[in-house]
Amino acid sequence: MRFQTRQLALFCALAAASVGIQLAPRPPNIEFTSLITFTVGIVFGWYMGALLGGFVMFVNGFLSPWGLAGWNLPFQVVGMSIIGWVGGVYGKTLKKEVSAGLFIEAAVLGSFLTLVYDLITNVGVALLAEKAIVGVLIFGAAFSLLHVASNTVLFGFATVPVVNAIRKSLGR
Amino acid sequence: MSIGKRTFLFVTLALLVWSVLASLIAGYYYYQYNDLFSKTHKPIIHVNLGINYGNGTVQWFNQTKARAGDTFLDVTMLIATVNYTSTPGVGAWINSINNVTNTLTKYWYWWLWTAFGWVEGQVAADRYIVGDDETYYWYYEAYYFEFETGKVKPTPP
Repeated sequence: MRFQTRQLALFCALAAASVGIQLAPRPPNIEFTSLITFTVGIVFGWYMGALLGGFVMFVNGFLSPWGLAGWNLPFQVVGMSIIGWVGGVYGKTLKKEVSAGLFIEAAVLGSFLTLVYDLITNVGVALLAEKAIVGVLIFGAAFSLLHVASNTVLFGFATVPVVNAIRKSLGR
Repeated sequence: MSIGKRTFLFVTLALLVWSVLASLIAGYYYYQYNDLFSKTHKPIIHVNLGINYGNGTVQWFNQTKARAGDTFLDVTMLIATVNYTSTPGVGAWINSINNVTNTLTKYWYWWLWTAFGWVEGQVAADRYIVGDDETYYWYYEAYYFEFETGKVKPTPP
C-alpha cells in the first residue's frame, strides 16, 4: 500500500489523537478509540483500521490511567483490530450519498462491535484469572451496558460526519 | 413488501446485541438479588475487620456485630473514626481512618477475603452490603501494588 503525503499525515494525526484520547483520564468504558478505528477502517481500508486499533490498544496496555493491561493486552489488541477490520469491510459497501439509514447502520454496528470487544476482553480476563466465563460476563454486565450504549450513540451520530470530513480533507 | 438483505442483516445484529445484553443484565440482577438475600436473612450478623495502617500496625476486630443491610462503611464507623467524602455516582471516598490521612502516594483501600484469597473491593465502602461471617481488611497502601505483589499478606483471623 502506498500513501500520499496527505493521507499519511492524516493517518498519523488520527493515530496520535486516538492514543491521546485513550490515555486521558475519562469515565470508565466511555471511549473514542473504537469510533476512530472504525472510521479509519472505512476510509483507509481494513488493514489500516486493524493496524490503528491494535496499535492504540498496545500503547494503552502499558500507559492507561486505569493500570497495566497485563496478559489481557492481546485480547484488547485483537478486539480493537476487529473493529478496524469490520470498518474496512463496511466501508466497501458504502455509497457516496448520505442517508438516514447510514446513521442507523453505524449505530447498530457500533453496538455490535462494542459487544464483541467486551466479550473478547472479558473472556480474556476469565481465562487468565481461571474464573467461569459466564460469571465474569455477568459481573461486568453493567460496564458492558454503559460501553455499548455510549458507543451506539457515538457511532450513530458521529461516524457519517467524521468519515465525510476525512474524505473531504483527502479531496475525495 | 420485501425486506432487503442489508436491512435484514442490521435488524438481526440489533436483535442479537439486545438479546445478549438483556441476558447479561438479567443474570447480573439475579446474582445481586441472591447475594443480597443471603446477606439479609437474619437481623444480626457478625463480621471480621482488620485495619492495616501501613507501618506494621494491624488491628483486628473479630466478630463485630452488625445489622443486616449495613454497608461496609457503616461497620467501619462502628469501630473506627472515619472521615470521608461522598462522590455522586461513585460513593464514599475515604479520606482518613483513625486520623491516618491519605497522602499523594498512599490511600485507604479495602479488601474482601474470598475463596480465591484477598480480592480488592470493587465498589466504594458505602456501596457494599456486608454479609455474615465475612472478613474485610482496610489497608493504607501505595496503590494496590504492595498487596498484589505479596509484600503484605495478611491471613484471615
